[in-house]
Amino acid sequence: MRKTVLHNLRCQWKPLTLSLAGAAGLTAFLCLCCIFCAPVDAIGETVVICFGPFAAASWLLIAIGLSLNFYPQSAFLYLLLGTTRRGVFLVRVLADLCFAAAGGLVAAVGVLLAGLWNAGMAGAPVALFGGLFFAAQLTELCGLLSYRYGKWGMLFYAFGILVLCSFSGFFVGMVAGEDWGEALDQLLRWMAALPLVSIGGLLLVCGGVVAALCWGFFRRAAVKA
Amino acid sequence: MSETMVLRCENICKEYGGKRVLEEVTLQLEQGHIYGLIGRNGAGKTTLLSILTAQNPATSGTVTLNGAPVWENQSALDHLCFSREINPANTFGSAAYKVREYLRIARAYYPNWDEAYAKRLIDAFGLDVKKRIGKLSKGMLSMVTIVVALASRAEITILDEPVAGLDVVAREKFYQLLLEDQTETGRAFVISTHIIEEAASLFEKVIILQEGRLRLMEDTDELVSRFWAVSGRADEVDAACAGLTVYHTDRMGRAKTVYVSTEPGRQIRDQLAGRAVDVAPLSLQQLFVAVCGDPSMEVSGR
Repeated sequence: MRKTVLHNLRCQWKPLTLSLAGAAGLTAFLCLCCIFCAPVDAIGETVVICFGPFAAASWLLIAIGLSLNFYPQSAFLYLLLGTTRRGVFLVRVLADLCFAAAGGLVAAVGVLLAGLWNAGMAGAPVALFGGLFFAAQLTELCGLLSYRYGKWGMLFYAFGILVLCSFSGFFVGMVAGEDWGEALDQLLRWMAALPLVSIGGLLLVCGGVVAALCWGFFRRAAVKA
Repeated sequence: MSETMVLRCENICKEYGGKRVLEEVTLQLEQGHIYGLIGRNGAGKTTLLSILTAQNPATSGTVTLNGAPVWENQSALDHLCFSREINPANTFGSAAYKVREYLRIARAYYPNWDEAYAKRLIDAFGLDVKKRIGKLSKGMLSMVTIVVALASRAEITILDEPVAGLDVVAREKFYQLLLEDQTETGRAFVISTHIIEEAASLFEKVIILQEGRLRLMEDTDELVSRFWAVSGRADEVDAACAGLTVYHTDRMGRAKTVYVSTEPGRQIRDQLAGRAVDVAPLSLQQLFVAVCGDPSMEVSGR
């Protein structure tokens, strides 16, 4: 196991570094744009306030964008060059966690700079960490299904999201229409009061579930020509 | 690596959607030999090679390297290299990389990678490493796969149609490089090709796949020495070849030519003594066509 993980670390560290550089660069670019849009007498203050959200958005965009083509572009190439599926998968999950952790760290800096740490936003970095990992796993699953099953994989994935959204909308609509409004109201208040750390933990668990799904599809996947 | 590598597969079967493409294939590949894997289109060559190198899971059967399973075993995969055709139409995947990026990734994965040798091969083939793989011609793509295969220095190296798209000069260069490498390192090479006649002199052993089954696996010289073209008057040829396995028949008026095989060690001249027939040895390509060819191709004329 150690051998295959080291093999893949040798190859996958560069894409991770580029992803981090890309996210940092995008954050810096957005902050630069912010400078030109901020009031002249409050440039620093505006940048400080916007830094956190910009970092979160940049990290999310990069996570989603690069995860989508990991399996179609890179993973099966690594298999072609003689490594194990376990090694490819484990190192990828590790890379996703590192990337998400870096995003959380940058978000923590943003929260601190904005002076919101003691204003109930201390859990935001954890929520972002969980969210980034979950988003990366979702898009990796999409890419993997597309590679393995072609257009039917993509359609199945899109259909799955549609079903999920339809079910959620149907449920909320039914609840709102029936006399369960009070129960829904209590549920929503409870969810809103959840600490951000709990939401982050929940997203992390969801990410783990999706990662397990990815492994299920990847573990016996064949390298195509 | 002092231990001789032996790659063995036993009773390999592969099914795609209920259709069997490989049926109970058992064979053994040893370090130090050059094997030729030949078969018609759709015989299962690429499927077999991808199963041997854990790029494709078998439906049933086992693949081992010196007794250890190959599937999901990095220690075993470190000694194997499967260099297969890169699909330039693949928008995602390897086609998006530049040649030097592709080779850099290969370098990271093959523990015995010889960078100096790779550079010599790139110069020998005149490859532009700054070009994207998706923009390369078919011949250039073949050169990339050859560079990866040879520079990997893997003890058992498999090349799937390595000369597809190469001009005759490049093909001769490849055969020469292969022989030099094999002499120097004692690696095993398994070459799947349709250009049989050119490569026949390279192959120490021949593996023929037919419709997913292993038709035969023998030393090339011994195999070729058993197959003959016997020609003459039809009745003389029939009498001369009684008891022999006939693989192919051509008729032209009263003349007839048949391709036959003898038992190992048995001389054809013993069989044909006293008969007014001509005997000629078959080339590997003719032998392959005789064994695996389409019977409807047999010539019958008046």
